[in-house]
Amino acid sequence: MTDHTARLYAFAISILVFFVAWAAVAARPWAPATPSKPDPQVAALVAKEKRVRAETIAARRVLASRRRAAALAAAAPATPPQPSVRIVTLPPLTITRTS
Amino acid sequence: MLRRAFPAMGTQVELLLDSDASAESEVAFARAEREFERLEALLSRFRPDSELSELNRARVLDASDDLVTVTRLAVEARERTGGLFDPTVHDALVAAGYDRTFDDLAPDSAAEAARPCGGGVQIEGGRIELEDGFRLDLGGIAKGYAVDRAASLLRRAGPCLVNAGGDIAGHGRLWPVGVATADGELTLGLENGALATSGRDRRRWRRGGREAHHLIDPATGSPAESDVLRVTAVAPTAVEAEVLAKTIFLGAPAQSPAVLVTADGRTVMAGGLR
Amino acid sequence: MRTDPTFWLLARAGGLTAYALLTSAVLAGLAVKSRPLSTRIKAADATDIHRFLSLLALGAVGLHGLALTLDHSVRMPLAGLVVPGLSPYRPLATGIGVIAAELMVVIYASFSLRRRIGIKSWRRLHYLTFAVFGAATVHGLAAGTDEWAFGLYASAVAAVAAMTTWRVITKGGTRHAPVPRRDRSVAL
Repeated sequence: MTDHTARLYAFAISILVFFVAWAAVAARPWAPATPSKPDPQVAALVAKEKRVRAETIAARRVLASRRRAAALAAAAPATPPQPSVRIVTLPPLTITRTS
Repeated sequence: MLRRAFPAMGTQVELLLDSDASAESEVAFARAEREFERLEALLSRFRPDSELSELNRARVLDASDDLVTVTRLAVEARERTGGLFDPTVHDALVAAGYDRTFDDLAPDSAAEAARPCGGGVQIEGGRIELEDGFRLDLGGIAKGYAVDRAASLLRRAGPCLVNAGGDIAGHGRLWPVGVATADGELTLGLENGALATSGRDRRRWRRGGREAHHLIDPATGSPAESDVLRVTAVAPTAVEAEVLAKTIFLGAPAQSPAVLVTADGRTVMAGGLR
Repeated sequence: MRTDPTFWLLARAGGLTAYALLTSAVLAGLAVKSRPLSTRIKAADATDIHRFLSLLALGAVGLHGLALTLDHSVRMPLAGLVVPGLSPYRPLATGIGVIAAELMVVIYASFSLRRRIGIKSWRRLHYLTFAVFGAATVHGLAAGTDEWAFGLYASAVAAVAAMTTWRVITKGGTRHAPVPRRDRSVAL
């Protein structure tokens, strides 16, 4: 004669175990969710994002300083008479180079 | 045409005098040469006994007229250019690797973090006061100042030209000056004015395996990243020309005649140069 | 690309549940034959609960396999459930799991067929349960992706080892149904 009580208990507890296991597994779904190795593309993207962010900050700073300079140049009063300089075809007596 | 050449301020200085040899010309040449020596002793950051080095150590100094004048010119240039030209780049320059005279630089060394620029400079009467943590480098303006001073001494003897490593002032006649372009040379006719060339193609070295040069962008504290290789700018004085060349290199629009040579081999005439 | 992890989660939960049930079945099988339980529970009841747990374990294994085929992150072909080594993911580890599962089915079915194959052979076959348990443990450790479950595997192995030792040491008696009294005074 089969003991239905015992079977019922066993079944109920196994159902409980199943749900607990499901909850435990779902609590760490990405450890790892896919069996493949950490995606090298994702890692590369993360590194690129960091680099781009740093470059953006640097670029913004440079642009801000240039904008300031341009604004000042634009707001400057009429430029004083420039020394006359033009391209000539004479042989040079001296040269200018990066100092 | 009389010519004198001598080394000064880490470069070769050339003096041209369009007149006949005379006692006057000799005296003028000697004065000009002495002026260079004097100003170098005063303004060089590489000489520990210069007045500039003293100021950098002490942060406050009752300075001589020349140091006050040059510092004031530098600070005014900073205001005028919105910070693109900045004499307080000293520590940033050292951090980038330019910690001794260029000829003595090591070809490569470990990299250092960039230092900030934009430190305060107070000038009251004869007293210069530097903000804590900032030191002055007048290398971007001292040569121009010396050129202007030497030229004013030399022109008493006739039409003259002073060329200190590329920073040039010319008076009294049309002076044809050669400018190296991307693929050749052009000649500018300079009359009563000055021109200077600034760029990253000469004073450069390696730091931590990367290229570095002496034109610090004050916004980042590191050598400026630019598509431009060098800029030749024209101005009434050599000081202004030096400042202008640097700021155009850093991206300021050229509103006076200038020649730009880019890294990809182009030559650009700007500021109405024809 | 389907990113719904449901079947993936079900597969893992099912696998862990199956392992837990397998362990309890093995423990039940050992415990009920050793003292003190063996003398307190009827043999029939003990066998019944042991068999039921094994059945539940098989059910969980089936769920585990089904969920794996339905999950898209591991492309498990249906044939891979019965043929060891067909899985694209860690074929050796999953192959061991397949073998363990198939052995489990065989052992479960053998109970009904024990008269046909003979009690002695059946007993020997039944000892293979330890192999099933071992293979399931290896499969869980090698193919499983839940590193935190290591503690469970370790406890299960420890419990089974302890219980086996206990069983061997105590050589438990059995509580049989009372033998009908023979009237010894019956004349021959």
